[in-house]
Amino acid sequence: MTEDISARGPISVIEAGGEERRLGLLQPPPGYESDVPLLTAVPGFQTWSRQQIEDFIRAKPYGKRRNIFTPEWMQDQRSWGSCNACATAYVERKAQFLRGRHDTPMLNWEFCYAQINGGRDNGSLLKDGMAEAQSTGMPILPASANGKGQGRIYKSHYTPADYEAAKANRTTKAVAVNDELTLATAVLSGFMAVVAVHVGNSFQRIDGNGFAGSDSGAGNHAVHVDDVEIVNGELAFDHQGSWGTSMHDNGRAFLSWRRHFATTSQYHQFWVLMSTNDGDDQLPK
Amino acid sequence: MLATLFLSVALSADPLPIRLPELAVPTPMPRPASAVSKLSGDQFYIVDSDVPVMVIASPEGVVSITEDSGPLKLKGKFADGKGGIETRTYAGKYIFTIEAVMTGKVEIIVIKQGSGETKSTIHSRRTLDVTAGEGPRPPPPGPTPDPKPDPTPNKVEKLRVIVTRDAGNMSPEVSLLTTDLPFWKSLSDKGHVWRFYHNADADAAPYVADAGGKDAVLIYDNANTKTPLKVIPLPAPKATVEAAVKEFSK
Repeated sequence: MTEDISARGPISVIEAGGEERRLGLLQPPPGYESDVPLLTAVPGFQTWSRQQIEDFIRAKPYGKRRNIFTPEWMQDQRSWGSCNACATAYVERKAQFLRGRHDTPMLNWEFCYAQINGGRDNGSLLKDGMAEAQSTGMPILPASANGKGQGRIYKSHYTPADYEAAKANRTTKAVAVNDELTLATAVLSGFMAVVAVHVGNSFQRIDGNGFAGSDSGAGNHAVHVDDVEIVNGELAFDHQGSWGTSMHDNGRAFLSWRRHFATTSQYHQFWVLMSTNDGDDQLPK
Repeated sequence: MLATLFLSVALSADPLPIRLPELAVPTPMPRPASAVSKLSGDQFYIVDSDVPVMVIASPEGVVSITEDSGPLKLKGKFADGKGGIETRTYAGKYIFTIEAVMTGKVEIIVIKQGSGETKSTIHSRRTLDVTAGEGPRPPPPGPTPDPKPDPTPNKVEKLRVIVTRDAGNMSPEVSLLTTDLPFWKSLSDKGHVWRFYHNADADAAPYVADAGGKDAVLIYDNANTKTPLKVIPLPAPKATVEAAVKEFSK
């Protein structure tokens, strides 16, 4: 982390899913330029055309990922501003699952948040979550947490053993995305993404097509997307939220580039998790 | 559905400089975009190319594919011949001789290999109705084809199936295989182990070495992973991986 975010002003708090929620996505400072390499610059990568994306969605061999990543995968951050770390933990665990590490339990996003919140429950930057996933990793969430935040969000809550355990769950490659078709290409290919939305009065609603309501703003909440559908001709990015299953449809709603990401992607560095380590699940060779 | 996707995304319209036999096609064609023809046990089916290509049969086991450097002179019966023995010279630099192994239907996929910034593309696909065991075929003069694969390979209890690729390799063809969770889960259900790796990851190093640095699916005996039982270059259809799993697992 290169910026002292502890001096930032207070973040917004709303009521959602029956609980107070801190909107913990911080906006990078003016003039910030991302140094995260773009997926479109990765050798060999080619963004699929709209037609290829539609063809793939029709041919999807896995069906719908919301049927794979069921409500049992729900991570509820509760009232702490750990959305960004929560989204990061989601994509790390789902990436492990999709590449054959099936036994990874829920990861401790509060540990991740502790590394990037500057010692205050005052949110974090998307890029810092990504960097921590690569450098430190995350330990397993204690089973006693039952998938819910416990407020263990400061470094003082953790021991050297936790840092050692975190090494087993590290991201090994992450890249930036900043356009709709590249995001869809990555997600359909099995690479989950951490993105920014702006939450106001509308976001908590869900329309008849399964889309979350949209609010205008630069982005104050981090989520991840794990699938893409076509709904009324529009690419619908499926997201599993972090505010419990009483939100949206069992905690899920579609997000669209035009209504949810077009503005926020100009302020925040969306990123895609490309690979993870084997950690303590290494296959002997 | 898979074929439709492949055809829509990657089928090259350029027929040259890769030449496949033009065979008699029964009408009506069951799949207009993919000619169906016959290959009997005493015939050769030749892919003759001036540029580097990869030729894949799906499913595996129905035909054998032998690669030779051309020009190549062959004497025998040819799938696109008139029925008698002929002597032909194929002028291309890359010659693939396809022969019947067992009766069945097989798809021959010709992938034009990329170079530099050019991506590999599927050049053509042909479906063959293969009939094996129709009498002896005179051995061809000239280069001796590689020995036939062992028809009864060692079968093992538990396989390890590894996908190693550059993470940027997200072509629709590769993603159709790697995102097919029901297929991969079916391997787990049978007790096999599978794992995907990004080529540059430290954990991937031994597998990348076994794959010769190329994107591939590697099939191992999970109890002895010193060398792979099979290396399947990517992109590969699921049917090819399925066939390999069937070939090597008890």
